[in-house]
Amino acid sequence: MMTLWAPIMLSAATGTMLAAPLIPSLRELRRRRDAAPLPTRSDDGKIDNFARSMREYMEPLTRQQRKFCTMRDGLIGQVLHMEDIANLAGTLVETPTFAPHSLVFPLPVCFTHELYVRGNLQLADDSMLRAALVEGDADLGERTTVARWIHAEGTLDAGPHAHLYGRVSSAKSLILRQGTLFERVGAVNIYAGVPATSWYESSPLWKGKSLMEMRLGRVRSNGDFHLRDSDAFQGHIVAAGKVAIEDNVLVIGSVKARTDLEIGSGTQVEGTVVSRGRMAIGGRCYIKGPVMCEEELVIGPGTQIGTPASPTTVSAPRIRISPGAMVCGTLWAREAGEVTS
Amino acid sequence: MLVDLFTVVIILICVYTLRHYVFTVSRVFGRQRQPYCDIDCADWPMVTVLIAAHNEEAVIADCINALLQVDYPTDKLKLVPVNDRSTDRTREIIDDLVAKYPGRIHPFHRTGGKPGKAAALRDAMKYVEGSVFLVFDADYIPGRALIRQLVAPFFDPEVGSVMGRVVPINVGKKLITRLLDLERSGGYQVDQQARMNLGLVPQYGGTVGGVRKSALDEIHGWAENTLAEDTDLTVRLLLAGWKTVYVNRAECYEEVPERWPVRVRQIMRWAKGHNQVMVRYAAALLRSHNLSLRERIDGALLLGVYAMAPVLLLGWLLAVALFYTGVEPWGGIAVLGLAAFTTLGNFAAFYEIAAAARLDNSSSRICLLPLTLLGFTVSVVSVSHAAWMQVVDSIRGAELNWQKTERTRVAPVALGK
Repeated sequence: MMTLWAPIMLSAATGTMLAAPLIPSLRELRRRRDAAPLPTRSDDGKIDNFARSMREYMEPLTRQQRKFCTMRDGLIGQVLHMEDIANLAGTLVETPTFAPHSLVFPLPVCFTHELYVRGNLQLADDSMLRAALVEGDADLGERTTVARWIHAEGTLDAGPHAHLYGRVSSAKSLILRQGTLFERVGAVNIYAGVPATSWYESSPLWKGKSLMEMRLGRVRSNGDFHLRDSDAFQGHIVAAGKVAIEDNVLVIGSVKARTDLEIGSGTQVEGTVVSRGRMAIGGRCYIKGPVMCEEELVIGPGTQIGTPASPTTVSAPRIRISPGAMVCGTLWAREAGEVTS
Repeated sequence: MLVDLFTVVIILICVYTLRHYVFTVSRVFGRQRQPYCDIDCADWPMVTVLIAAHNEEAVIADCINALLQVDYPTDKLKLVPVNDRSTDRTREIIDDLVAKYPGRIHPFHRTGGKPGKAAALRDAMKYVEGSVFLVFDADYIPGRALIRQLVAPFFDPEVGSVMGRVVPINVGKKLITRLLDLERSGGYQVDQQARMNLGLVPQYGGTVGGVRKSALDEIHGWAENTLAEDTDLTVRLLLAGWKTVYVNRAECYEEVPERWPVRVRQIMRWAKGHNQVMVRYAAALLRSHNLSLRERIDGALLLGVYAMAPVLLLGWLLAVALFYTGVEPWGGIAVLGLAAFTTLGNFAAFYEIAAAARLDNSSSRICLLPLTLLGFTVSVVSVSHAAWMQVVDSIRGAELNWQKTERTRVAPVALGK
């Protein structure tokens, strides 16, 4: 009897031990709790999507025009008129808010929920917004904080030393005053410090053409690459080491450095500038763009990147931009951006 | 002799095991490199999209309809379905769409010539307009932002080709589709992205990707006599100083095989093509002065991936032989080596899959991980068989034949737009 049961028990125990790890597998296979395709990105990542979502979210307030209204998520939203501002119980507004007309806040205010203004918005210093959509111009006071995003259909002027987390955008112009911290910024014209006029005009030689469409040669360097003062260079540059371009150089092509890249004052690059290390762009330069840097990017005063007619992207983990510089398109600091004082 | 051979096998297994671990650690804990994903605003170039189709009546309409909806300037986007000698309704479906969307689709109906995707693409190059072209297989369903995400890296003058991420759409159908879903996750989410992080050699995968026209011209176009035109292109571009980059966020749905025989044929074709490229270019790659040491090593390891299956089988046979012949001290070490591989080494690839599932926030599908052993076994046997056939064929002087992957979709999928 013993001789029969022993191998059976041993086999059963071994089988159980081998099968045990498969139990969760077989259960998942039968129940199919996680059998849907992985979700892929379906939106195009444009700021219009945020604005559209905000307009849809605020629709109960904009449609009913009552003082208070229950929103889709169960929160109570309020309609705020200019004359109500004096009667606000405090500086803290803890409801989604819709303003059918322009708003001017003489005192600091803190909106902990969405704000939608169908007019202009003017905030006092030290105010705070969570997320705001402004159909007109937005004038943020000094040291204003935006926690998630703000979009203005008109001009957006972020006051000095503002803290702009998340996305900040304008359909027209956006002014980042000195000392402002930013992350993702987008507008046809982004001015650092003070508004300037777009000064660059591309040469008729390649006007209307994309540089990527032009058959340009490519120079590859296994070490560093250097262009001297007032040189002109046609073609793409790819260097395994550092690239140094001195002052007043013209490059009709793109530049890539696998380490650091330095561009002197007054230089024009009619193409992309890419660096896997640090990048420093001097003053009064013009870069057609995009500009991509994998460490820190420093942009000098008076430099213009992109044009209103041909907006582009500037992207780096850390960006320091000097007052007087101008970017047309998107300025994206993945970790932190700052307008230097 | 046996001992020396076994030593080589163990070293190779250790190298690949280490490679898997390095990739997994880099992906989970390292700095993630996605330098091009921020480009949303630029002077976008003219792009031609080639849609490779051979008897694709079940899927071609979904792919073209999805491409018609992408967010890319219409005047800079040319869609070219490459109808390669189809004998089903593919031509009719394409022509219907051409009539429905005048000026948007420019079909190339190929009626003759050498079979195979590489040969079809080579013939289709005369339809390419602009500096960049993208390639999709007919069973792929691109999202709205995909074209811009795939084109953005070409602003970097060093980039010759770009690869996006493939995501299975028919995951829940069968055990095989669920296993392939996990395998694809590991391959793209961890393996490809880790190579991007570490400045190694991401691979152009032949679809959901793009190529710079001038780079392709520089390497004299597509190689026709290959079963893996994608790997061939990756290596030739690399040797010519062009980089391939991977964009993890450029995701696109594909249909994976739903039957094991289809999967076996697919992986055998990949294995033969890959091995072919290894034989052609491994030496040149290792000798290249244009590449960094890490690129050369990673490139060679990439080319050797499919050769590892027969090496592994050989290792198992050698370990058993050494154990029973009792060669000292190798009998014991052989068992140790075998045990080490079947525990830590073998599991290295599974760690990749587990890490990928975690990164994808897949909560329950990770439970299927033990069952991936089944897919692994099928792959090892199929790839080894392919390698053996390849050796036999080369001795006989037989030509390699292209075999199309069978589609199982019977109705248009909901695009969820």
